[in-house]
Amino acid sequence: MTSNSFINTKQGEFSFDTKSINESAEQFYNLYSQNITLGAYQNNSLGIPKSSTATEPNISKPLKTVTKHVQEFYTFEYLKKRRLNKSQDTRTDFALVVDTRKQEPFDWKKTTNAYQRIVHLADLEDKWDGYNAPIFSKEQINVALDVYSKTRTYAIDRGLNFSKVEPFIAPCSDGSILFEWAGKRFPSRQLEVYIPKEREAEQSFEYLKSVEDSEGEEEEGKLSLNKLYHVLDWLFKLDGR
Amino acid sequence: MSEIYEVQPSDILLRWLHPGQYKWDEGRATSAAFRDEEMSVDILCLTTLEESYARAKKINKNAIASLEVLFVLEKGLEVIHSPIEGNHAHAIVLGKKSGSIPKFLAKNSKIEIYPPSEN
Repeated sequence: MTSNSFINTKQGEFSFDTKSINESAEQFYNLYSQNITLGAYQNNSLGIPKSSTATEPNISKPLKTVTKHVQEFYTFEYLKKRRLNKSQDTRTDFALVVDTRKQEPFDWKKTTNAYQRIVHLADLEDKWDGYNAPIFSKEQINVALDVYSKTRTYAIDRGLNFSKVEPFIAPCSDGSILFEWAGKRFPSRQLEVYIPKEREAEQSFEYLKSVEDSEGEEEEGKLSLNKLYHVLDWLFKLDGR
Repeated sequence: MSEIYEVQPSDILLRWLHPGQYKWDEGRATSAAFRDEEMSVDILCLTTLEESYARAKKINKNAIASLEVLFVLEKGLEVIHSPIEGNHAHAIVLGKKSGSIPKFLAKNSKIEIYPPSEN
């Protein structure tokens, strides 16, 4: 498949870089570029691709969306479909379709929802901070989602409103993901937990506990997911101290 | 070859922020912006806030925080002037920044240019 392909839509010719999209798909979902055909959504119908690389101009109704990838505000969707070949064996093909309705970029200001911020870390491209920040891998994001789920379970187990427990999520320039409990919502005890860039054999997270009104009272170290409750109990003063 | 400037404790450093690293409702930078082991900054006395902001805007970064070198040195870090193409004021804050250091730097930084409110 060539790097630049074209889709002929009602809005005109639209070009996009299939190489980078396919690389993202391979990285995230282990999809490979063989047997990828092209199509375009136009008002929920599939259009006809102009590119000569298209191997199948008419795409049958897809069975399942495997992944979506947003590039330059257009959504690219990989669809998985099965069809019978001449010898009646099933074969799985992947189709790449482009939703040409322009999408809005993720609003890092208005969206404070932790889950959405974690998921949208995948949108950040290489050197997203203007310096050398790396991209966030699917694996790392999944680990962050595990930690997020654990905090939700914690809130339920402790009878707390999740809005009081919800962390602030921030992408770090060193490639880690910050879970922050600090600022006006936490005037006395504060907590930071970092999801590392590289996966370790025994998953552990860097943490920092600090007491705002006590100079120098800080504790830092590493904790595993099953110790998260301990630091959260400290944060919410449920540890008896 | 650019002359290398010897950074002074009284110098001010400028650091670009991604909107995701900025706590909008509290108007402050988070530790997330101060974690790199080789942290890029601009030395203010070798440029201007406007020039640094213009460089940041070119790559869609639109907030700048300042930080006194004094605070950086207090944590045992080193600041080295390291000019790059198109930016004579570029420097690197060297040293591992884990634990309490990023939080300390964030707490002692000052927002010089806030992200636009319509972003």
